Amino acid sequence: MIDVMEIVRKLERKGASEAEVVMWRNRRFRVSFSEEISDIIDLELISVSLRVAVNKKIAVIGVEDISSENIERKIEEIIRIARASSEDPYWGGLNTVFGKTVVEEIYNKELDEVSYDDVRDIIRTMVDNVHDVHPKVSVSRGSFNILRTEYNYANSYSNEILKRSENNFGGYIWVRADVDNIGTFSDFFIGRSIKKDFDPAYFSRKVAERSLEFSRARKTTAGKYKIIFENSVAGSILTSVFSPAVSAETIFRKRSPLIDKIGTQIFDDKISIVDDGTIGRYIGAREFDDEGHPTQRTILVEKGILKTYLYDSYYAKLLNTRSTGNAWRGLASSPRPSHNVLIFEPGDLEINDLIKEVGRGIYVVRVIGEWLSNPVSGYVQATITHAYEIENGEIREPLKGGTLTMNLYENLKRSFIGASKEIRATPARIVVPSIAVDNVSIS
Amino acid sequence: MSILSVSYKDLLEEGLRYIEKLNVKYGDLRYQEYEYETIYVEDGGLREYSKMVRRGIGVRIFNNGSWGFSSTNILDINMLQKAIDKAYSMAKTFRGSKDISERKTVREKIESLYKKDPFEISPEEKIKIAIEANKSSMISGIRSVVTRLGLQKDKRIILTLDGADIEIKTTFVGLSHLSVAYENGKIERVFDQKSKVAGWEFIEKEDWNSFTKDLSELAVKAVRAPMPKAGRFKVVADPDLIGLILHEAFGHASEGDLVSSGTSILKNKIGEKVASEFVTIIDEGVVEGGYFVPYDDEGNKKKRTVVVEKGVLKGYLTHLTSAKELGIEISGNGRAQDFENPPIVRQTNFYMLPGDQSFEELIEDIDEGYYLLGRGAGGGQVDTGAGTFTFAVGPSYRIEKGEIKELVRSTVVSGFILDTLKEVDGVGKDLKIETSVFGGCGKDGQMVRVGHGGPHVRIRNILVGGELK
Repeated sequence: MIDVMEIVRKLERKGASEAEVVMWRNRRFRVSFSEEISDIIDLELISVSLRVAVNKKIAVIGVEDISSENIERKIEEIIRIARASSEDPYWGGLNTVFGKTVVEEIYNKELDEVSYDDVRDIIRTMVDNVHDVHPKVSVSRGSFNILRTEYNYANSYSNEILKRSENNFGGYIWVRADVDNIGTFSDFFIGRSIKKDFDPAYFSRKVAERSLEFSRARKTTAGKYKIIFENSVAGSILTSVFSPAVSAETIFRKRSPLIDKIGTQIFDDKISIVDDGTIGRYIGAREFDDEGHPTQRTILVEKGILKTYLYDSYYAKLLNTRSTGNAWRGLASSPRPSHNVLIFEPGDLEINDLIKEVGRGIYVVRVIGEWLSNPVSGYVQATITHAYEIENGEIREPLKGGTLTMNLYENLKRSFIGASKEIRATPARIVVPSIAVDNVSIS
Repeated sequence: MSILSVSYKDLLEEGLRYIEKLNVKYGDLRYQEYEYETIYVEDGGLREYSKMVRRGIGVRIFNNGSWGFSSTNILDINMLQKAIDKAYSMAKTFRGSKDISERKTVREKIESLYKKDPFEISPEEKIKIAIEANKSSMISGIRSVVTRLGLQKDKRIILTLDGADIEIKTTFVGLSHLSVAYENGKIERVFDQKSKVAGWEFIEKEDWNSFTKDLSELAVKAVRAPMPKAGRFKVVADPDLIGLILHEAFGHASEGDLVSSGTSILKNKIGEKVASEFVTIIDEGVVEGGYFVPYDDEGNKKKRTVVVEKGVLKGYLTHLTSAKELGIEISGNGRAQDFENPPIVRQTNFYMLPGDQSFEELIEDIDEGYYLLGRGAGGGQVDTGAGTFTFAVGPSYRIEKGEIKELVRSTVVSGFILDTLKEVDGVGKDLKIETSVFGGCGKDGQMVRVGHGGPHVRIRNILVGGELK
């Protein structure tokens, strides 16, 4: 096993004024299937990331060639690159605050014990239940995944190696109904415990039923509507538009519409949003962030008022504040602030009551292209693939097509109707209810 | 820690001999060495010089109608044998009823052309170019600018049980830039990049200072521009955008694995009219301006695949399994992101052939519409089963009575796959294909480099997002 502290000391001896080393050991198990299993991947890889400062000159090298000779070569090379670089005038030093927050349920041994046979049975259950809904409904694509991550961290100030481990399972199915017309639907699942968090029969039947409904979808009519964004859609919109806007990086770099908005009303006063990396059942929770800083619960929006941004140590030092434990990093890049688990506080209405409250409008359940929205302006755009008409407070005909546009800050401030009691956690590390908004354009 | 006592080729051959003893229907080993450098400059200063180095072997076994895949980045025979055993065990446990196509295999070493190795250039020189380009874009009205210089070397060796022995080396470079403009509470961001399968000579030849300054000027103009009017319009799409439309609206739906699993709206449509007679679409592995895919990651030669000819669907993109399932030839589109992933069906360079009209002829009979530009666009997405696609459009121009009018802000365009290409009623005589060292196409969690493009194309009726007026 690679000793990250030993590499830190070697980098310092070679001339680094500060050094940081991370080692990941990841297991990735994935079974892809349609009507039957097609591809299976099971692998375990070790990756190492080195970051050094030579005074204020920074370099990063990510290594997946982990032979000892190559690591030695990269130690020499990173020092050479850093010396050749120009200074980062904003560099305030590596993180110096270390620790672990207690986060329960983050590692489940059950997932280590899942056998190939167990997974084969889960997939068989899903496929059989799809067929049970209707003989002409079939599974076009799907996957079942188990991920395990071990993370070892050390830097020039940490004195010891910080270690954490997480695992989770997840996947999706994509179902096609070939009846009078073609109907499709897909959905994901994710969790820490297959036994507690996942009922493959119930899940796959629901997806199959919706694919049948969408075989009779008609095109959406243009206009301005009251819209309910089903929780997974609301989650992906917030991930694309709101999450980047509360990052201290986009604030400092002047690429956020929330600059100088702390203490001001940015959303309706019924909206509160927190970032919480300490609730183990949610994906994204962890004991410390990617630079060893403990994670925490951070109130971002309280009753519509913006309270703070999300910081890693770089931007915290730069903006003269404390890190919120939100550093995330790639193999070959410096950490950057992003959300751990973004939680949009639920409302007080059951989803059916929210639909009644809307009265007439559109219930959007799947979109594509929402990630093309503009986090710099808050302008949301997405193409509807699956939706329902809402008429007289009830779900009516299925709909497809149409591009919806709104401004997140305008619509959630002036046209927010409400949020459902039901929440859902998504793979994008967000926990969100279904959200109803007025004045959304559909073209 | 392992010590590589034999060369990687010897190691692969030893691994292949081990697979032979397992008596499986098919197996392959794919070695990859990958180097990627990014020089990241933000608001006039170097933010980060980063580098990634990867080396490993992917192992794939086909037996009992099913695939098993594993990989290792500890390059010794013990770890390789463990990965092979694991892949074998998976294929054995997860029995299926798939089969693979028979084929003729070849042995070839091939390398993309370059004059100057970008990894031999000093860090100082690379930093200087990126910083100068970044500073050139810091003009009045601009709030934030990011420039990235990207350099890639990718070497792959594919050895298969049925005799393929392919080595491909690709050198790839480029520069990307983002300008963010601000005025009176409005913000607009414009992104663009230029990449080429080439060496450092490409970076030296281009005028990056003008490239980034032009983007900033466009962002400043765009922030003052109105939103386009939402609705259905006649448009002319430029080659950047038509490439994106084709890739999203048609390319994915023509991928054989999606077709055979029923996830594509193009299933059972060979020989049917799926576009207007002006439309001919090609997927080609080696083409000027595109990415370099002479062979796929299964060792198949990448053929020039005619997907649509004069509006009629002619073929799908396939790999070993999907070709067998569809009963057609292997087109050489089995591609993997890296040694950690198995090949799946992917596009290579997907483009439309040019026609015979000038740009002026394309716009002359448009009373009200848009000249849609790809520069500043951010990609797109498709639901191949529902047949819906969407993609971003950069700052573009309104067309009125055959004339280009004012600039409008970035927006999105969307439509249905089987409708949109039937609405093409004019194709320009130009052709431009491009690729990117900063991104690619994502599918099933894998990203691969692709190229796309075409001529200027007129579409009679497409849905433009924007403001309802």
